[in-house]
Amino acid sequence: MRGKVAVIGVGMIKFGELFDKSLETMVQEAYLNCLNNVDKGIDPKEIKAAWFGQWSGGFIGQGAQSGQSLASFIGNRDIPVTRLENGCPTGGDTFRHACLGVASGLYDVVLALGAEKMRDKPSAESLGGAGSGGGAETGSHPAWMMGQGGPAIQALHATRQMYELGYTMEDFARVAVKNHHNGTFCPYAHYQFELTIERVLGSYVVCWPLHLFDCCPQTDGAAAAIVCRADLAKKYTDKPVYVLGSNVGTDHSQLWDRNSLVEQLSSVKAARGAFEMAGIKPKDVDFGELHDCFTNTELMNIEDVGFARKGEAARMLKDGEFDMHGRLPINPSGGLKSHGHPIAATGLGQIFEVVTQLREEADKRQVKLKKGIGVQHNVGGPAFGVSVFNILSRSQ
Amino acid sequence: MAGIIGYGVYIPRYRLEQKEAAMPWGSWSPGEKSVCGMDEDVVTMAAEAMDKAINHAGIDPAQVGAIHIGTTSSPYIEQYVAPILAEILGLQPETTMIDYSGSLNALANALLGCLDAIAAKRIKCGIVIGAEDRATAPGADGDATFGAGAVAMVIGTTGTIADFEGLHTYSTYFLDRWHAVTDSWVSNWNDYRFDREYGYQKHVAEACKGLVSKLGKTGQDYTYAVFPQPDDRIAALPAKDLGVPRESLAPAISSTLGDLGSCSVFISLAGILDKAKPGETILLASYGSGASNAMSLIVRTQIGRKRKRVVPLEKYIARKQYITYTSYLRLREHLKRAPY
Repeated sequence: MRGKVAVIGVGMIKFGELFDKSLETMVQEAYLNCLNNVDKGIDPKEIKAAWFGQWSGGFIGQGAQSGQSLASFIGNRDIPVTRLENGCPTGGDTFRHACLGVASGLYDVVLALGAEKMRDKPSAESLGGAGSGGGAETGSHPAWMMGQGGPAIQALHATRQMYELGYTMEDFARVAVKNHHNGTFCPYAHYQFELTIERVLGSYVVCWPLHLFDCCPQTDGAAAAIVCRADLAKKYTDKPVYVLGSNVGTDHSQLWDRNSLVEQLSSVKAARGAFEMAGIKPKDVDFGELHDCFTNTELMNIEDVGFARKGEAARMLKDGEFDMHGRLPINPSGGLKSHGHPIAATGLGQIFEVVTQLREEADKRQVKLKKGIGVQHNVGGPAFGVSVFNILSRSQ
Repeated sequence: MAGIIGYGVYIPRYRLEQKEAAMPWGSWSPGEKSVCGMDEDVVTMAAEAMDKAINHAGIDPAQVGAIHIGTTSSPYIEQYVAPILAEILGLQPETTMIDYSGSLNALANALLGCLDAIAAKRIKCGIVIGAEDRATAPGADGDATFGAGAVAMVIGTTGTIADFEGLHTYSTYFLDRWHAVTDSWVSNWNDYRFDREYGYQKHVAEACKGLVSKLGKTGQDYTYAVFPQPDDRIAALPAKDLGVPRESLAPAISSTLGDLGSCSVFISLAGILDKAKPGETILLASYGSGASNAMSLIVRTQIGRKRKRVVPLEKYIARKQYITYTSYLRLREHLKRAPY
């Protein structure tokens, strides 16, 4: 797939508590933003297939959406549309499947779109629903029924990071401070305010050692990307962004089967495969949008995908290496910490950011490009056993 | 515009520590709440408050042209409570008798109805009574927080102790808490921030903003600001939006008496009137189910002359006797003795 697929347009809406927007409205806005982003213009009829990332529908009782939902929302019912759900990596994986559709030679131009209404259910029910992804409601295992949702799992990781790697709550808080700072420059972020380490550590404990501001918020949102055959890209845009590598990594679906709690093997595998496909090394990357659903997770991800040796991410963060103008900016958009985490929209929102950065259109949050390569990463699912890693570049 | 001629409150003697009710269900809640005794309910509490209000107003009950009840805790879904209270006062059958219910805005709407009738010159004087002892069940949110109490106000144009200067309403379709006919308790979304920010804070602030701009005032112009208190802290949110200084806010009562539902803001108002001086101004807003009525009041000189007839709220707050959660469950008939 390396170099065969190009992104020609991306679009998203401002994430937030969008009580005045339905799933349909959000999808339509993201879709129109995406079409308008194709700078030489595109006829919607040129889109020959679509993938619809949607997680919440099935899990928090809003009715499972199928491909037909997207087809009817965007008024294009003459193309194949598939709904895709793959835990927290749903967005990144929806993008990957769109790329596979083009790389297979079957379609020239396809759409990947993800949207979630996370806040239409009360937060407790929504979080419970997230647990049901692991089987809380189906009763597949008592651990899930006892509330082993995202915060509980990541708190287990965090305590282990503190024990094995010597990380501290200040180290975790520093991630929130960095990402919230970046988020103040991003008009699409749910939260646009600065944080201090003191404020993070002074906020409520959600699940020790994770405080309220160590966790990303529950958020509504939608994001989309249009990809096409690389050789056709210049017809649509002067600034195509090419897909160099893309991979999904999987691991055990239960926490107790894992060998380590300071490493998510799914991320390791996803990144390794994607770098192999791209034929590049982590050091060739200019910046990354990594899955910071919790602050400790970002540190773990930085190490897992190969940007730091295990146990070094906290020090490098403290030294400013991951700042917006540091050696390797991580989450220049503000990440999930400031955007929130509308599951399927999250990954595509990150793709939006990577493409915007690579086109040097990110305004105040523009990072310095050297080789012109950026990455997008999600990790999640039950016990964080599934991960997606996409590598994008401005040159083929 | 009309004003308050006299008022009265009633709070039952029993108190339950809120943590007593919360802890068996894995929760925690600070403070205390008032609880009805075996021989008390919405009607008896309303009658007590009504009696105090008539006495404070110093009027002949025969002058009362309308009796309006506001409550979400009526024992009946069909059948009014107002005629029972009219019977107690010995009012004529020609008197308007209405129950307002279905929202925590009920009592404020009952008051508006009375003010409208006076403005339309249909009546000279009316009495507005609120009483709450809201439906709850073991483990439901209100089990720990819903308090019991009543308040009554005699409304008219002569001999007023405080006059209404202006009114403003802000209503939207908004569902935050509800009592389904098939449930024996009040439900909510268990999403406290949603209720607080998109419901209470937004509606109260908007209603007050509309009112003060209509009167050419600001939030800072008021001596007191009185908002409903489902909990002790929430009133500070719209106060902040309106620029009302913290010290102007009515003292917290929800940690001593519990969440008094539609009566909350008017019982707070009674506490303020117990001490207010002529010329002082009060900004008041109700809130219930996506609706808020804001009212602007100015205190008149009569207040001092009538004060000796007031049974102050403080007295009721101080008069208390603690009961256990088990006794409470028995009082509410959630625990039942075996018949034999």
